[in-house]
Amino acid sequence: MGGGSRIKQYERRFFEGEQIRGEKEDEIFHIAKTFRNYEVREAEGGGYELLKSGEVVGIFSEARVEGDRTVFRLSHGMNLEVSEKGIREILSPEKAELCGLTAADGTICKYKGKGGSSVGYEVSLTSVSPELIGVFKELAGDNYNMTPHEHIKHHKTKEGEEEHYHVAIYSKKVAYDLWDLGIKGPGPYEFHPPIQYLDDEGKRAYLRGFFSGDGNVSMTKEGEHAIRIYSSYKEGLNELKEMFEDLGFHPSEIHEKYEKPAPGRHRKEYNYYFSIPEEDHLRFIEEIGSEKEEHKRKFELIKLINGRKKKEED
Amino acid sequence: MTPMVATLWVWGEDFDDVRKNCEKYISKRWKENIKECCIEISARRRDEGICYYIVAYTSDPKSVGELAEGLFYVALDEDDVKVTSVSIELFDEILSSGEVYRKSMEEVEKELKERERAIVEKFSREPRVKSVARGRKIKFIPQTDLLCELSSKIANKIVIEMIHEDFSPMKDFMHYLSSDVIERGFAERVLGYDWRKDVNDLKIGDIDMWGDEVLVWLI
Repeated sequence: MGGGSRIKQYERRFFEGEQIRGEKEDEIFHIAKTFRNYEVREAEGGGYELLKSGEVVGIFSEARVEGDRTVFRLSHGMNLEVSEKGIREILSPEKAELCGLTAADGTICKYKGKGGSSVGYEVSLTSVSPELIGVFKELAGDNYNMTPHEHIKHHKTKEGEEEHYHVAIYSKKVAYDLWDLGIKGPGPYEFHPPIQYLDDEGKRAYLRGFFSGDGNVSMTKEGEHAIRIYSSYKEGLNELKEMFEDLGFHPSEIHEKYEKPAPGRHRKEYNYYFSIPEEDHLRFIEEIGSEKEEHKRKFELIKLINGRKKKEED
Repeated sequence: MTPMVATLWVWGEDFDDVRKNCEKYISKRWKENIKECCIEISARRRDEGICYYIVAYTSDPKSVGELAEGLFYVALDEDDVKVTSVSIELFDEILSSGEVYRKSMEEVEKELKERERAIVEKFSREPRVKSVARGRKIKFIPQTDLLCELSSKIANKIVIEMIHEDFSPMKDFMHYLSSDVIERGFAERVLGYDWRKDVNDLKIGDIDMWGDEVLVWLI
């Protein structure tokens, strides 16, 4: 990981995968899966070998052998997927979720230290509620084996002092790892889901992360409800919409929640959103979901209301 | 004059930087010809999806930092809010005099009731609605832009603007925010309200089938 070309990073991650388990000459292997030129062999004592045209190209301690693919665990939240289509690097669900959450609410930046001589790197999340801070910390631990720094800050409100939270990983390697995936920036609201590194599981996890930050479940007194995803960056929102479509959802068109300001004034920021239609709500709740308690509470209500509606219909 | 609108703070930056960034910008950009500046705090209540703006006009460059910071914390003073940006625009004329919203809330609500009738009349006939309705009950849920004008001694004027499709929580939130602006000393009183998004400004956004009902979201 770190800077440099994607191939170099790939090689490094691959190598890190190899390092996890040392090869033993007298080990007995049996074929677990074959995909065109690739063969996955499992050692009797545990561990896996990946062969390309009969030559060992990787040795791994962990693998998930599934129907049409095998997924090997690499380092830093990356996995290697081998299938009939060949091999590709994909994000683990934990890393995909971290990317989604960071894209919605986080920051990846380079900053100058006090005095201006030193340079630091930061991947962080700011929130007025502690729950997403906990999720970010957990995901940082899962992916980078790091405990982020947590800063509890205070601001004055009508009711007195309130806390807000800033949780940050100060690491050049982590910043570059995420920058290389192109998940955030360079514009202040700009984000792009790393689609080429996401399998369906990764797409769901990314969307869960993003939704936890910039998603919304609104409900009227009469029980009508809407599930929406907001952003000020229309292009990125369109990419999210396509991800939902890839997963078989039927998201709405992208709408603006915007009114022209008074004559003579200009507004730089627009609020865009798309909705998940009613027909997909239950599927959304089951497959995507959210890390936020308030969303989860409303999801339970939606299930309850829809159950009642269905009974009435029957 | 070429529009001079600058985004000076976005979510993720330190909250303390709002004042610093605004004061720094004003010290560099406020020239003799500037008659008024508009500070806009843009935010979203995450749980309900209410998008709102707190806007302050001032002709005093020294008040910009205090207003920006103070109104930023007003915007933030809710359970789960994302303040998306703080921006400033400079003008060589007084623009705030054009922003006049002086209706009572009762008048606004009465006009919105009238709009409801006009909406049913206009949109029930829309082919997109007719094709899915087929005897089902149709419910129209229109987006509304609610505005509130406040008088202020620190600023020339303060305006709060909200956009949402459920009027009741938006009205409550407008009362909450406007009273907070007053309690914190940035405004003296509410001068009045107004609304936008008349029937002719609305179009069909989403249509949801919900049991025996058709929900038509108008945007």
